[in-house]
Amino acid sequence: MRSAVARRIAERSTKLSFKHALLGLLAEGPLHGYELKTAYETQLVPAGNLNFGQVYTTLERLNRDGLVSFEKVNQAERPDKKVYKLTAHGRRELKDWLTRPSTIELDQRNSTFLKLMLARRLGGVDLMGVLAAERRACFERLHEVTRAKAQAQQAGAPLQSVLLLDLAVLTLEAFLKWLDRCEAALKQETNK
Amino acid sequence: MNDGMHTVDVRGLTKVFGAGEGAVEALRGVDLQVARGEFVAVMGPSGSGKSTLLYLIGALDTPTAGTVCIDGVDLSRMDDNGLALLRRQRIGFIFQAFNLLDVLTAEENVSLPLVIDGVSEVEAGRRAAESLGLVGMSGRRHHLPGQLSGGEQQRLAIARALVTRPLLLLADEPTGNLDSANSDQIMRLLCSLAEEHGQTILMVTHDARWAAAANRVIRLRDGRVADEQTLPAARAYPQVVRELESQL
Amino acid sequence: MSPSRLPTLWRYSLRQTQRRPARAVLTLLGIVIGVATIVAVSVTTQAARRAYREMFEALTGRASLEVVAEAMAGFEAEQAQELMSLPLVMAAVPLIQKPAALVTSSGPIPVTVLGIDADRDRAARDYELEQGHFIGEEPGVLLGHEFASTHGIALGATVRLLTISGLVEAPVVGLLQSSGAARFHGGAVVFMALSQAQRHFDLAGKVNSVQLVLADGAEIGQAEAAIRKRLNVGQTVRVPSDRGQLAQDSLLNIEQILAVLSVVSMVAGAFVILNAFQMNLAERRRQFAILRALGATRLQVTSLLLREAAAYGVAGTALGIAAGMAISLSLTGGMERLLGTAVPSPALTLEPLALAILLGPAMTLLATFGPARRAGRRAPIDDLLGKTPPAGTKMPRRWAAAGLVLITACGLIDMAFIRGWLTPALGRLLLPAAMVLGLAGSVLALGVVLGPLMRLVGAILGPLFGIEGRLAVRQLRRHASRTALTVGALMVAIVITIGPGNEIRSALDNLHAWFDNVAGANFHVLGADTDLGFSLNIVSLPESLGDELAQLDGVERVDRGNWFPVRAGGRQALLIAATYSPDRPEQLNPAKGNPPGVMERLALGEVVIGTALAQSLQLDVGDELELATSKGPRKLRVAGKCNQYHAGGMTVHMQREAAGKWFDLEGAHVFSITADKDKASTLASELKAFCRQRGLLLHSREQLRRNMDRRSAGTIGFLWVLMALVFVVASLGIANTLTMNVLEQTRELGLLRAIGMRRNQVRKMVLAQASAIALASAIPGVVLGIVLAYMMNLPAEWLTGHRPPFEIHLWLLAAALAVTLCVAVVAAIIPADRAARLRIVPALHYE
Repeated sequence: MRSAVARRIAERSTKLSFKHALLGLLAEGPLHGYELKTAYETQLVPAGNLNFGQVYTTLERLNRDGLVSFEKVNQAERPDKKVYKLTAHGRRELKDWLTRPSTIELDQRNSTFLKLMLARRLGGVDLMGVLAAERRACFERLHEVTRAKAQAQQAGAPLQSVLLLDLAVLTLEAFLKWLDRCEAALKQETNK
Repeated sequence: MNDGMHTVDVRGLTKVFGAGEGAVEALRGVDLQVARGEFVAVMGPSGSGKSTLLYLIGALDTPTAGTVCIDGVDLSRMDDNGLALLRRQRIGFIFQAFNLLDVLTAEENVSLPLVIDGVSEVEAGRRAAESLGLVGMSGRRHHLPGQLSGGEQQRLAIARALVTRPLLLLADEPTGNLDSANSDQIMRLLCSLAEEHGQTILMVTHDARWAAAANRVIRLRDGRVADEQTLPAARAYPQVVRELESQL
Repeated sequence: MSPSRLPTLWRYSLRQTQRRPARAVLTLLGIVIGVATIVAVSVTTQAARRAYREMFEALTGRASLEVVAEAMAGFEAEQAQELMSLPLVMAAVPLIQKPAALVTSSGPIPVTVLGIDADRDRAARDYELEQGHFIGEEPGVLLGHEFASTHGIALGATVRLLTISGLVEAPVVGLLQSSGAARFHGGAVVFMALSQAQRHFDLAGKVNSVQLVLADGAEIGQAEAAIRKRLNVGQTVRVPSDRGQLAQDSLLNIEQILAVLSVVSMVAGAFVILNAFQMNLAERRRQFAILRALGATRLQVTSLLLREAAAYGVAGTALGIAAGMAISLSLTGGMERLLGTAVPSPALTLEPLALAILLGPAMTLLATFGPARRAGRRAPIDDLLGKTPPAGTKMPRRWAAAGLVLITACGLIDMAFIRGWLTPALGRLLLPAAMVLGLAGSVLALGVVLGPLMRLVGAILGPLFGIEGRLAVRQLRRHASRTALTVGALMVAIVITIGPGNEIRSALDNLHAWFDNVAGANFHVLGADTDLGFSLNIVSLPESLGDELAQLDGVERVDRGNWFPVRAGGRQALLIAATYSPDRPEQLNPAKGNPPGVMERLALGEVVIGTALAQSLQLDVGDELELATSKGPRKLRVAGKCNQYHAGGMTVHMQREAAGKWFDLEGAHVFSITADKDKASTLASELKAFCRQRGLLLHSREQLRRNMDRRSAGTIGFLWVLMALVFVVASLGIANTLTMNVLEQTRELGLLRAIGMRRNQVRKMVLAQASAIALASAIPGVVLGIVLAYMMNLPAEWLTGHRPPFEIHLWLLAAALAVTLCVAVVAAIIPADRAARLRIVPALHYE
C-alpha cells in the first residue's frame, strides 16, 4: 500500500519525468535513439545534456513494460538500428499522465528561512540586516531574470524560454513578497 | 558624490500635507541623486511617499522643506512660469492613468507639449510622428485614445513624454493600469530607452517585478530612504536561460 | 502667443464643445437672450423715437426751420414774402399742413394734407411722379403710389377727405414715388394745391406754416434769432423735428419697463453662462491638470478658457443681434399700434450695435473670467490623479461678499432715490443699474442663505418625496455653487415675471381707472384715431357738427373738445380744452392734495396741469404757468393738478371757452355725447348712420377702452414673450444641472439600484431635485420680485409726477409659481429618464 502511494506521488511529481518526456516525443512519430536525444534537447529542454546510456536504459524499461515497441532497420555499413514507436498501452499511459494533475511539490528547503529563524533565536545578530541582505540578493537575481526576459522577448527567443523566465520572475517576486511579510512580522515581534 | 553634475539632486526633501493634528508627513528628509543616463526605480509600499517624491521632482508640487535641483537648477528659485517652462522642456511625464486628452488624436496628443511650447504646428506634427514611430505607434496616429488599448494608450503617453526630448523621464506606476503582456511591452520600451538612447528615467512603482528592470533601486519606507541598491550589469539572456533549464 | 500654435488648441476646444452640444447651446442661449433683448429694446425704442423726428424731417425736406403759429393756426400768406427778404434765408416756402381723414369704405384713414405752392415748393421738396401729372390750380390731389395701392386707390379715382368744412371730394391726378415728403406719416400724405387747401380748411389767403431753406453756410441758431425778430405775436420758429416731443414723453414709462427687462434678462443670461461654464470647467479639471503637467503656464490655461468664452461671446452676440433684430420687427409693429402712427423699420444703428458688441462678449467674459482664472491657478496634482472625486463645490466666499456689496449698492441708490437726492435724469440712469446690482447681488449672495433655504425646502418636500426627497436635497447641497446658480437663473425669471409683470398689470389697472373717470360720455365722434403725440391725426371738425349731433334723439349733451401741442414753461405739453363741469370733478382724474374749488377756478380761466408737467416745471397749485398762446406768452394760474396718461402726464387742461380766448381753435377735434339714460342703445344706431354718412369715426366708451387695450397689446405681449424666454433659458439651465448631477451620481445611483431601489424611485429622486430647485427659487424669487416691483414703482413719482398706489397682484404670484414648477418638472423629464435607465453594472464601475 505504502509503495503504491509513494509511486503515485512520484508519478505526479513536478520534477521532470524523463520517462514521460520520451513517451511524449514518440507520440509524434517513430524515432530511433539518437533522434530521440536530439529532439529532447532541441524541443523540450535545450540545456539538458543527456547521455545515451540514460536514453537506452529508459527505452528498454519502457519496452519491458509494453509501453513502446521497436523494429530493427537494416543499415548498409553499420549495425542495425532500433526504431521505437508507441504501443496502444504507451499512448494510453501518456494521455493518462498528461491529464492527471501533478502534485505541486513545494521545495521549502531554502537557506533564507533557516537563516532568519536562527538569527531570530540567536542574540547579537542583526536580524533586519540579514533580511536586507537576503532581499538584495534576491533582487539582484530578479533584476537579472527580468532583463534576460526583456532581452529574450526583444530577440524573439522561443516561447519555452520566455515562459521559463517568467516562472523565475514570478517565483522571485513571490519570494520578495514573502520577505516583506517576514520583515513586517518580525518587526512587530521585536516591538512587542 | 559629484555635486552639480546630477540630473536630479534631492536634498533633505520633506513634504507635509495638512496642518496641526491631521498633518501627514509624506516625506521626511529624502536625499536622492540620479546621474545622467541612469534608470532608477523608487519602490515602496503605498503611503511610503514615493509618488509625492516624483511630483516634487517633476515640479508639480512644492516641498515643505529641502531642495530639488534638476540639472543643477534649484526649483525653489523658480516662479510658476519658470516651473511650467521646466516641465514642458526638460521633463517628460508618464502616469498610471495615461492622462491623455481624449478629444485629441494620437498625433495631436503627442504634439501637445510642443504646441504649448510654441513650436510651429508643422514642426510639432513632424516630431510627433517621429516620436510615435519610436514607440511603434505610427499606424495609429489618427486614432483617438478611446479607440486604443490600454497598452497603446500608455505607449502614446510615452511618445508624448519623449517628444520634447526631455532631460528626465518621470514615470508614475506606468504599468499600474495594464495587464501583464502590455506591462512587459511598456517595460521593454523603457529598458530600451535607457539602454539604447541613454534616457534618464526615474520610475516609481510598488511592484518589484517592474522595479527590477532598473539599474538602481531605492526603497522608501515611511517617507525615508530605507535602502538603496545598485544592480549589476545583467548577463546575456541565453546564459540565464541555460542555467534555469539545467535546474529543471 | 504665436498664431501658428492656435490650431491644435483650437481643435481641442472645438471638439470639447462638440462633445457637450446641449451645454454649448445653453451657453449660447444665455448670451443670445441677453443680447437679443438689449438689441431689440434699444433698436425699437430708437425706431419709435425716430418715428416722429424722421417723419417731420421727411416732410420738411431741405428746409431746416419752420415758422408756425401756436396751435398750428393760420396766418397771412404774405409773411412768406417778408421772410424771403432775410439775407440768411434762401427760400421761404408757404404751406398748409393739416390733419384730415381719408374716408374709405373700410373707415377713415388719418392722413396729412399738404397744401403746396407748386412753384415754390420745389425749393424744399422733390416730387417724382410715378404716374399722372402734377397738381395745378384746379381740384386734384397727389398720393404716394404705395399708399394708394395699399388702399386700392387708382389714378383718376375720386377720394373723399374729411376736413373742417366737411367731406370734400377730389380726383387723384398723380401718383408719387415713395420718397421724400411722400414717405411722411407712413405714406399717408395727400398733396393738393395751396389754393385748394385754403378753401378746404377755411384758411382763405392764409397758410399755417412757412418752411425756410437757409442759404449755404448759414448757421441755424443765427438764422433762428434773425427770424424770431420778424415774427408776429403767437408765432414761433422751430426746428420741424421738435414736434415729436410729446410722443416721446408718453413713451417714457414703457421705455423704462423695457429697459429694466432687458438688463434683467442680461443678468439672467449671465448666470446661465456662469453656471454652464462652471460645469464645463468642473468636468475638465483633469484636462487642465494634464496641460499644466505638460508645461502649460497658468496664463496659458486661463487664456485658453477665455478664448473659448470669447468665441462663445462673439457667436452668441452675433446670433443675439440677429435675434434681436427679428424680435424688434414684431416689437416695432406693437409700437406702431401704441403710437398710432408709422414707425420706421428698425435699423441696427451704431448705438445698439456697440451696446451688443460691448455687452455680449463683456458679460460672457465677466461671467467666465473668475472660473477661468481659478482653473488656471489650481494645483495640478490632485486633479491629475483623479483622486479628488468631484466632491462638493462650495459657493466661493468671495461671491457672497461681492453679492452683499452689490445689494448694499442697490440699497444705497434706492435710498438716494427715495430721499430725493438724485436728479430725475440721473435717477433714470441709475435705477435700472441699481436693479441689476440688486439682482446680481442676490444671486451671488444665495450661497449664504442656500443652506437654510435648502433645509426649509427639504422640510417642505420631505413629506412629499420621502427618502428620495432627502437624497435629492443632499445632492443639491453638495454642489452649492451649481445649485445656487441654477436657482439664481430661475429666480431671476421669477423676479422678472413678478416685478415688471406686476408693474404692467398695475399700470393697466390704473389706465383703466383713469379712463373710466375721464371718458364720462357715452359716445365720441372724431375724424380719426389720434396718435400718441397728438400732432398727426387730430382732424378738425366743423363746430356746426355739434349742433347737428345735439338734434339727434336721445342726446342729452354734446361737449366739444380740442387737443393740441403747446409750449408751456418752455416745454412741449398737450393742451386739452374741454367742457369741465363743476359737478363732475372726476373727469379730470384729480391728483391728491388739490385744494377745494378747483372746478370753479377752472371755470374762471385758470388751468389744471398734469402731474408730470407740474413735476418737470416744479409748479404747484397757486403758481403761474407760462403758456405760449396765439396772443403771445401768457401767465395762467394753476388751479390744481391731475393724474393723466395722455402725453405721459404733460398736459394743460382748460375750459374750452377759455382756450378759445387764447388760441385759434378752428373747429373741434372731438364731440363727446352724453346720452339720455334710457336711450343709449337707440342713439347708438342713429349715431352710426349719422357718422357713416359724413365719414366720421364713432367710438362708444367701451370701444374706446378696447382700442386702448389693443394699442398696448403688442408691446405688452412682447414683455410676456420675453419673460417666457427667460423661463425657457432657466429651464435649460435646470436640465443642464440635473444632467450633470445625474452624471456625477452615476455610481451612487448604480449602488442605490443595486441595493434595491426601483427605477421609478430614481426618477422620483431627480424630480425631487427639480422640485427642490423650483421651490428654492420661488421663495426668494417672490420676495425679490415684489421688491423689484416696488423699485419700479418708485420712479413713477418723477416720471409722471404721481405714483400709482403700490399693490401686489396675487394671481401673478400664483401664476409665476405654477410656471416655475412646470418648467422645473419639464426640465427634469430627460435627466430623470436617463437616471432611471442607467444600467447597474456599468454604473457601478463608472468613474
